[in-house]
Amino acid sequence: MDRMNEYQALLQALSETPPALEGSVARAKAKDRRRRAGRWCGIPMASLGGLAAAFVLLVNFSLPFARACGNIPFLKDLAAAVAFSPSLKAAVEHDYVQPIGQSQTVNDVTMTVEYLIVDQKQVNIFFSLKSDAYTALWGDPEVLEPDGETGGRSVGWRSPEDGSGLQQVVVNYLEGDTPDALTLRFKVMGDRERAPDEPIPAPDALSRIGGEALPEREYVAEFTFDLGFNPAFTETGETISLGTPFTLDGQDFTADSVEIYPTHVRLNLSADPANTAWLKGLDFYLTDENGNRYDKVSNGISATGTGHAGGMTSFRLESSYFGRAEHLTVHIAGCTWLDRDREYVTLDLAQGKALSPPARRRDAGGDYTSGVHGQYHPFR
Amino acid sequence: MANIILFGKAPEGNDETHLISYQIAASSYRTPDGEEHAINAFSSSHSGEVMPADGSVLNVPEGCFAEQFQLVGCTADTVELKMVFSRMSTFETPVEIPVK
Repeated sequence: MDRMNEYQALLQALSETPPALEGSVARAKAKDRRRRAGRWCGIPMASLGGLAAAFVLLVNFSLPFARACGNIPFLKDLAAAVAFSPSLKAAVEHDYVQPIGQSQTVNDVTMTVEYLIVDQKQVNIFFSLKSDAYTALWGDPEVLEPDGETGGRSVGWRSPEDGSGLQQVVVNYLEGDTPDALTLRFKVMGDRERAPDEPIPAPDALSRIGGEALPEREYVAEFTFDLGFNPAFTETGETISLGTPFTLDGQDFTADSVEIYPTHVRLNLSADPANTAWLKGLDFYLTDENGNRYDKVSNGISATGTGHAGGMTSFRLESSYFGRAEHLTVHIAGCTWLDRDREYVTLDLAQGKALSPPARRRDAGGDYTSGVHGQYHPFR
Repeated sequence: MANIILFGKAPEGNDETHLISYQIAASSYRTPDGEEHAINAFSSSHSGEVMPADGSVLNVPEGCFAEQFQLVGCTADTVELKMVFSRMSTFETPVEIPVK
């Protein structure tokens, strides 16, 4: 064999797979598959715990995620519960909701706190009451602050007319801000379904004869929920300082500021001490550059005052928060006055007539008419 | 005791399905001795007639509602009734305040 033949033979030998390496690629691929499978199965339990925690956080702080998790019937109830309020409706439409889902059962009554709508000045707690033992459930809310203070705020409760759906507790903070947490205590009363053979109570057991007060109903259950608020919600709000002087009916005011929250807007005024009438009501609205109009709040507190007997100094509108407008204008179309020298009207009860002039209305144009009037008909 | 009925003009938006009223009298009155008394209950009616406690019938003027309450235990001949407001104004051109 010459050198060239020897070289060709070596090349031929190199191009053939040695017997020991037969199927090595297939074996390597199979080994890799086993290794990957092992790695997947071997995910540490801590990672699973992290995933579970992330799931809980998403469910509690993300409405779209909660929706995706199938809580649809309650979202329908929430939509019904906020239908009366353009501001809360807009909040729900923009997913400005903190899902809660805390539930307790006492004496066959289950109370579930479903959702919160919270901003810097207002807390709305939406909850359901359910029971197979009672045909109607209602109650008395008590809201406990972390510091035990109850001043500077108001608490309201709203229930659907037909008794079904979500009930609502509203906490309004007048000067201070919403705290980080609240405790809701709710004492429940109920009408129990009577068995077919159960006797109907005698009429005098239902209502005392002679105008006496009805006996107080007993509570059938009491619930306590500790509610923590998402800080992103409690910090939400914007205050725009104005310092704009203006005159209404010859009375001087300064528009001090406008506060914009997801649940409402506040127009804060200060009155000239020399004014001869207290401002008791404002017919006003807010507009933006997109043609949106925000009217007076449809429910709840419409105005608050700080002075003795005097006028109101803070007036509330539906919220423009989600309109994201660059330009806003307040329009005052009318007002209600209490003249300082007409705080009282003298009535002659013996003759059945008013001795001092009744209330009156001044329409556009300046003339006094008898549009809104007081006709006094006293009878002894 | 005295029964008081006040008539107020029904506000804009009031109709058969949306009965809207407002408070005319505040929740207290003064007797000639200067003492302030509370009025604890008010009712309002949009129906055509109201019936005071003496059994008579009063017609509610067209476009008005009636506010009714009692001065419980009152024996004075005259009282000073505290009012919520004394007049209302509507502006032909609204007053505008730029916010931003």
